[in-house]
Order: sequence, then C-alpha cells, then structure tokens
Amino acid sequence: MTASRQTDLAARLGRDLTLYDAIDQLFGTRIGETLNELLIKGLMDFCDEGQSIWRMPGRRQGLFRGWSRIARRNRRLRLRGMDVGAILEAADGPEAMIDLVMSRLGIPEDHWMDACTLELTKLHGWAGFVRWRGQSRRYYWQERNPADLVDFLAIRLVLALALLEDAARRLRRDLRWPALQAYLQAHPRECVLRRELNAGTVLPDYAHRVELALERGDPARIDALYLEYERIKLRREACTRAHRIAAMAECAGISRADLLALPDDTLLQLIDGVYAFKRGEGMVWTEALERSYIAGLLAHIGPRVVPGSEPRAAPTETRPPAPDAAAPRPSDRIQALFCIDVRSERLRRQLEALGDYDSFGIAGFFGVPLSFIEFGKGHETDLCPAVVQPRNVVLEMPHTHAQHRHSLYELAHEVVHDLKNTVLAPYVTVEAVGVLFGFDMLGKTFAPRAYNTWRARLESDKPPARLLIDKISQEDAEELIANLQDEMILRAAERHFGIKREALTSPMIRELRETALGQRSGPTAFARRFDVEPAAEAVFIRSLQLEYRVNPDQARIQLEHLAKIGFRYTRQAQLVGTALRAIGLTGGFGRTVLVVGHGSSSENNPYESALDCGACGGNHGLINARIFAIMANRREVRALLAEQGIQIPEETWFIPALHNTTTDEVVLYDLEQLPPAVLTRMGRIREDLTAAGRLCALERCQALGEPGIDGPEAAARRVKRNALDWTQVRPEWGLSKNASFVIGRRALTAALDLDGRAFLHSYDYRLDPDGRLLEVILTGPLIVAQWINLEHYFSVVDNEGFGSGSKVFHNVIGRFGVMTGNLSDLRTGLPAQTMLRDGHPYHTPLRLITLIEAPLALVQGLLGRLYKPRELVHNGWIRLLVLDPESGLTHLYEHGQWQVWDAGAPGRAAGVDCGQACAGVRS
Amino acid sequence: MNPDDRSSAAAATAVGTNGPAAGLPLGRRLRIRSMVNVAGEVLPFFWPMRSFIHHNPLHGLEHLPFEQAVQEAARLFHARGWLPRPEYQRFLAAGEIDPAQLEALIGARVDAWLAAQGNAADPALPGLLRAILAAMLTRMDQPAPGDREPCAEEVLACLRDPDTAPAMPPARTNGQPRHDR
Repeated sequence: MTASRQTDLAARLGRDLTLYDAIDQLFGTRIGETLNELLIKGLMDFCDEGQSIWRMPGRRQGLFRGWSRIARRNRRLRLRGMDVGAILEAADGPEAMIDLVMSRLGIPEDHWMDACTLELTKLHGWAGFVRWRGQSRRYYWQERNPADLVDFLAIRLVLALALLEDAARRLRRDLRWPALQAYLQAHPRECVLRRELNAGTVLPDYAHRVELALERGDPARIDALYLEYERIKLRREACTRAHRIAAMAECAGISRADLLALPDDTLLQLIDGVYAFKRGEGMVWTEALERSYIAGLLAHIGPRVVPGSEPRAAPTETRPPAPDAAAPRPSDRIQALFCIDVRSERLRRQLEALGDYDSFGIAGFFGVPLSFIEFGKGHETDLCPAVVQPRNVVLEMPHTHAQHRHSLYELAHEVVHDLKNTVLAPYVTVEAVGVLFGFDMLGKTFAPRAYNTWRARLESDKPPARLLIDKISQEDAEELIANLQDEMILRAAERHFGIKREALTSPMIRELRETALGQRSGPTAFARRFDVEPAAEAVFIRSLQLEYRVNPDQARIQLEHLAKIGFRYTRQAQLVGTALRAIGLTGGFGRTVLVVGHGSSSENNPYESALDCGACGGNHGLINARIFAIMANRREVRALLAEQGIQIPEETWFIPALHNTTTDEVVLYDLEQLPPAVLTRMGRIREDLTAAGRLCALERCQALGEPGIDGPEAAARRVKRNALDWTQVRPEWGLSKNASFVIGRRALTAALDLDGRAFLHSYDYRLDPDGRLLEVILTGPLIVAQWINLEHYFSVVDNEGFGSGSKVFHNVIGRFGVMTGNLSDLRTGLPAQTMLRDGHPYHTPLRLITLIEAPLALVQGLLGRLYKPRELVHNGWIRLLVLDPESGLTHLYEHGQWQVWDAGAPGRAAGVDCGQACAGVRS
Repeated sequence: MNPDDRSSAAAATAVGTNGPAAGLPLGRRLRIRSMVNVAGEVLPFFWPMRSFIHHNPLHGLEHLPFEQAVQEAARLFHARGWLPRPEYQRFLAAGEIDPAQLEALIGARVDAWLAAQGNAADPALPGLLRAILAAMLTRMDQPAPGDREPCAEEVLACLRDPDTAPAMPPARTNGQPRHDR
C-alpha cells in the first residue's frame, strides 16, 4: 500500500508545501502562522498612508531597507529567539538576501521558482498590493516609499530563516531541505502518521495511539500501527463511497438488490465513472447555468437585421414599436448615451418605455481617457479603464468670475491669479499647480485633509467649477511658469528677509528670476536696495533654485507637465467621432443628446468605489460625461466632424448628466451654458428622468426585498433614505447578478427585460466593414466587463477565499485596504453583503455570456489578430456567441470550435430519459 | 539546522558570511529579480480601495483553460472555484438551470468518458451511469472528500460485503445543505 498523493510529503515539498509548511505538519510547530503575523505587522507600518499616528522612519529607503533598519533593533523578535540581526548582516540588499536564505536552507536551485511562488501566494492580498505598487510609478506613496515583490519576498525569507533556525534549536533537528528530504524518504510511514496527527486529518479513534507511538519512537511499533491505520482509513473511505453509490442508485429508483445484481465489471466501471465525473462536476453545473441563460436570451432577442440592408440615417429603428401615436419628427426624439454598466439597463428600458427616447450604450468614460485634477485635490486621478494609460490632463477650475466664454489666455492667467490669492491661505487650485509643478503639497500640508474621507464626493456645497480641457499654447505656458516663478520669489523674499510685495518693483523680481535661471549674473538691484551682503545674496539665489525650484531644469519639467493639459481640437474631434461611430450614432441627431455618466452614493462604505463606474477607474462618470459634452458642443469640433461625415445640426445640444445608481436619480449638469430656448426643453426631460428613476427604484426595492413598498414614489423615497443611512451595509447590489454582454444594435434587446443583468454596448456592424470599431470594444469594454464578471464569479463561489467575507468584521487599514479583525491578509474581492443573501448566493456564478451581432467571419478575423480577447474566448473565460445577421445563424464557441447554436435542441446531446434508463436496469 | 554551519550550501554561492556581503554580481541579482517577478505573475493586483478596480482574481492564470486554471488556483490560493453542490441545486429549484440542459451535459460527459475508456462493456451502463449521476447531482448533498481515494475494487468489496450493509448509516440526501471546503 502506498501513500496517496495528498500524504506524500516528499513529492509535495517545494511544489505545494514550503519547508516550514512540511515542518509544521510533521512536528506540530506553527511557523507559518507566526511568519504571516510578523510580516503583516511590518507591512502595515510601511504601507500606512496616514491613518496611523506613528510613522515608520526610513520608509523612503524602500520596503526592504526600511524594514531591515527596524527589525535589527526589534527586541520582540529577539525575545522569540529569532536572530534577525545576524541574518541581515550577512547579505546586502533584497536580491542577495533571497539568494542567501535559499542557499542556507539548501533548497536546490531548480526549486527556487516554485518556492518563490509558494511564498508569494501565502498572503496573496498583501503580495498583490506590493506587486501593484511595484509597477505603479505614478502612485504617490510608491514614489515616496518604494516597494516591490523582491523586497516583500526578501523580508518573508529573512523571517522564515530566523524562525526555522529557532525551531531547529528547539527540536534539535537539522531542518534544511536536504536533511528534511532524507528524513521523509527514510521514514515515510512515520511521516504519514505525523502529518495525520498535526494536520488534523487523523481518525479520532486512532489519535491517542498514534500520538503515543510517535512519542515512544519505536520503529517496529510505528510500522505496525501505520499498516493498520492505513488499512482502516482506506476501508472506511471505500465504505463511505459504497454507501454513497447505493444511495445514488436509490435516488435514481434502483434498489440495492437490483444494483448488486449487476456483474462486477459493470459495477467497477460504474464506480470509476461516478468518481471520474465528480472532478468535472463544477464545470457541468456552470455550463448548465450558462446554457440555460443563453437559451432564454436567444429565445427573445431580435428583431434581426435583414441581410444586405443599409443602415438608416436615423437610428429610429432602435425605438420599440409605437403602435398608435403619430410618429414625431426625428429631431423631437431624445437620444441618451448611457454607460454599458448593467445598472443602466433598467433606466434605459424604463425611459424608452415612456416614449420618445433612443438610448445607446458605451463604456462610461465615453471614449475620453484622461487624468483629472479635481478642485481641492492634490493628486491626479485616472478617469478611464485600468487597461488604458491616459496621456491628457484635465484641470477643474473654480468659477471666480461669472463669465461665459474664456479665452485660453484668461484661463491660463487665472491659474496664476488663483495661486496669488491662495498661496498662503486656503488651498484652492494651488494643489493642482502643486501637482503640475512638482511641489510636494500632498505629504506636507494637504494629506490630512485630502485623505480625511475615503474619497471626494460631488457635494452640492462645492463651488461651481469649470473644466480646463483645451491645450495651453506654448506662450501661455511660458508666461504661466514665469508668473509662478515670480510668485515663488515673492514668497522667498518675505520668508528670508521679511520684505513684502509693496517694497519690491517688478524689474527687481524679474532680475532675481533671471539670475536664478542663470540667464544673467552679477549683483542684483534687489541686493543693492536692501543692503544684502554678496554672500547672503548667493545663499538666497541658491535657495530660490533649490527650495523654490526656480531653475531651468524645473522650468523644463513644468513645461512638459503643462503640455499634458487639455486636448487639441483635432484630438477632440477624433475622440467624439470614434465614440459616435462605435455606437452607430452618426446621423439623425435629435435636438437633445443626453450624456449620462454614473456613480453611487452610499455612505460609510469602503467598497463605495466598487459601486462606481468601472470604465472610469472606479470613479464617478460625470467628469467624462461633461468633457464629452463640451467637446461635442464645440463649433470647431463639429466642423472637423463634418469633414469626417458626421453632421451634427446646430440645434443639437449634448447635455451631461449623472445617474446615481443607488437612488436611480438623474441630475443634468452644465445647464447654465445652454441658451434660454434650449433650457425650456429641460423641464420635460427632468420629469421623464424622474418618472423612469422611480420605476427603477421600484424594481430595485423588489430586488432588495424591501417590505411595504406600494408604488414607484414610495420606492424612490426608500432608496433615497437608504443611500443616506450610514448603517446600511447594502444600499444597492451593485453589479451583482451580472450575466451577459450584448454588443449590437439596441433593437436586439429593446423588447427584452434583461433585469439589470446585461452590459449593453451599442454597435452597428454595417458602419464597421473593417472591424476597427469592434476591435476597440473587444480590447476595452469587453475586458473590463470580463474582469467585473469574474470578480463576482469568484467572490461568490468562495467568499472567504476569493471574496472578502463579511463586512461586519472588516477593519480599514492604512487607508488603502481592509483586513478581517486586527490582523489578516488584505481582503480582496467583494464582501458577503453584495454576494450572498440569507447566506446563499445572490449573484449567479456564470461566465460572461457575450453576444456580438456581426458576421462570424469579421469576429473570427478580429480574434485571429487580437491576442487577449482570443485567449479569453479560447480558454473559456468568457462565453462568446456571434449572431451572424448575414446567415441568420447563431454561433457559440465551445470546446475549441465554433458550433451553431440550435434553438430546438438543448445542449449538444439529446436529453437523457432517466425513466427509460432505470427501467432498462430493472428488466 | 545549525545556523553556524556555514560549510555546505552557503559556501557554494557568492554570498559571504562575515559581515555585509561584498555584493552579489549584477547578473545574479538581475536573475533573482526576474525570477521573483515571474514567480509573482500568478498574483492578482490589489488596487488601493479608494479606486477599487474589479479584476479577475485568476488573471495570472488566463493562459490556461478555465477548468484547469480553477484547479491550479485551488492549489495556489487554497480557495474553491465552484459552489457547493446544494447551492447549485437551489439554482435548479429556482428555475435558473433548465433540467434538460443539465441532463444533456451529463450525457455528453458520460459519452466522452466512456469513449476514452474504450466504451462500456455492458450496454446498460451508459444509461445507468447517467441516471445515477443525475440523481447524485440533483438529489444528494456533497460530502467532505477523503484523502485516500480508494480504487473501484475496494469500493465494490464494501458494496458487496454483507457485514457492512446493515451497519450503514442512512445516506444523507438533499435537504440539509452542508458547506464543505
């Protein structure tokens, strides 16, 4: 009898088990647990982002060096018997440390890679955070206190070595790899018994005897006990299986007598068949869920395009049939762009049902990737999918003057104007300038306030703000920098000499600036006027260059930063044109086009960002909506679009809005920029939006199981109350239950109630002969939707392992994550409150059912070219269906090939007739 | 392990053991760095929660077929990739799973398995196996798996053993969902 795979420690060492895992299992030590605790404590100190009062010193040297400095003197480690200091003395730098520990432990080099993976997956939340930081150079805290996986692993290994050395002394054993391997091979039976005892898998009635035998250490006795133990354990498991087989037969209507009457060969194959099947059981259930969903979706989808038909000028085809009313003029219809998010589906459906609305789905950043510096914030936020790296910066500026049109010059000048008013007092746009100009505003003065709340909210008491989205000219930029430098000189003069602006002349300031920039030399008028000694003058100039950053290098960097602000008109037209073509809205514009971003508004919720717009990097989608609308309303942009063949009538206005997904309220923005005649149309639109929102609230209340809701109005009041109530752990279900992604014309889904479970991206293949538009959807929105879908999948199938467990036990740590209790791995994934309901799955774990309306050849061609979408489809991470309008067939990619989905026959094989099969047995 | 024993493994490398090492050669440093980074590729990123980014926790395994990746993830992260059986049974009861689809999928798996076995010796076996598996999936709970994995002969011996039959505890059937990890 040989030990099974699970108990063969020698084979699992290095692949499934670290050295200390094996030692913990053999000798009942708890090295792994202690190691995790010690590592987490160190990481908590290092990664803190201003939550803790104590700040770990030396963090700027990086994770490994900063930790080493403290660990060397850590008395608690020494009390545990760990000599970390001596280990740290022996190697310099994290790579050398990894090399040293691996070598000292005697781990063969061909096992190092596996050993590293094993170590890194022990605390995969923390390691994932450090790994993310390692490649996030723009992350403030990473820039300040660098950390990467090499640091992380080096610390882990130092702690592991120190703990193993201590355990070796206590156990009086050589615990290095070669010695342990030799021991495992020389005493396999003893090792199996040791593992059974310490890993908690021992048969309860044998525990005492096993313990005694191991204590005495008599090899003959251990051998004898092992043989008996294995025989009994195997026999018991065999009998359990036998019982289960008999019970299954019983459930299938086959009596025990009938079962036993079968010949041995049949029964043997039956038993093997059952246990072979069990390994793939999860997949069978998952495919059953998916195929059932697909069948339901395909049964109702349509109407389909007539082959060879041309796209109509107006997208009125997306309108659900309006039987009675006289069709309004196309321009009276209201078009509305919504995020592809599943939560848009309800609102779109309700709004369309009211009549006169055509809705479109597009990734909620509206195709405009940008980095945003919010008013009152000292850092940039990326407002685009995490897979995109934005190249343009947009600034938010307060309205200081109630003017309608600002020239670029005025806008640029205002940056400085604001700076002048605010350098020493409240921090207004100085933070934005701080970011752009490389001043460390965040860490010094702004951090406590900026990070006091989890995230900035769009508050009603915030002063109205404009968005600076146009390019600043070279001259404006240079003037802006010169003004900033002069401002710095004024501050310096006051700080060094107590001299105020009124005592200085502008030529004096200019001369100081030129001196600091090295454009002139010699004594300055400033020094003469205020009797500053040449030595003191030199110190002052040096200080201007170093502390106040008035120097040529800095000026060049500042110019580069300013060059990133805003978009050129040609770029704006390109972004708007691409977005409109992608959703098939290239003609037939109504007078009003709503651009609806979305965000949530729950209070006191560390997961709030998970409820916001994924296409906007987990932020509110309003900024992108506003920017898109500004661009699309621009006369210059429209002229460029007309050259591309997209004629937007002058009477058409794009109006940004925010869909609050917690309350389903929609608020229109930037209305002050509309001419009065257009403004009067907004009253009716507001009413429509309110009505649609109330109907959604009613649906939501039903989904949340809210009692005592008798109509849309009561529902709207309830969801609003819940949003404001900070004790609500579950203000909305977010993206739970997401199931499918339909890429095609709205007409396909317009008649369907998709229950808020479908991502919808508008797409008209007739506008996309070469597949370029579909390529954008497959490489952007599809990837984001797949991430969302699989995050939900894994968070629901194992909420403790992949999800983050119950929020009730969560503690926010270091302002960047949550732990369960006081000390745990960082919790990744989604909490039980959005995954489970009454302890059972609320979300349905199926892989994203993706339906594309396009010719199969087009999709196949794209998959051939696009690596990531192909990998996801071929490896079954998404389920891809293609609705080919030319052949009228639906194709499903499954088991390595395209198959035609047959609506008549469920599944690939014919249904099993259970009754017949059972009858066959009895006869 | 004796920490003072510096004779064996440590000596084989370039690492000095007295005082700070003179430094690892650059080539070796780079090799270790790239080894760690490759070893960490299975790890999903963790974004700070202020900007929660939805992501696939198995992102690092997307080069594998889904089913295989789930198996690998169970080994690496000690987490489960499927729901416990009773939860799927709830979806079945709620109408989210079409029984005909489930049966068809069972049938396809049985046929594929039998074909790989060189087909059934007994013509009644395919139907029998399908019926028993359908009963297992829809009407039985999921017991905690053992780790000894007895072979079919051992199971059959128990099934045929009249001594074990009367002592059999009643098999637990559906109705008491139990979450086995």
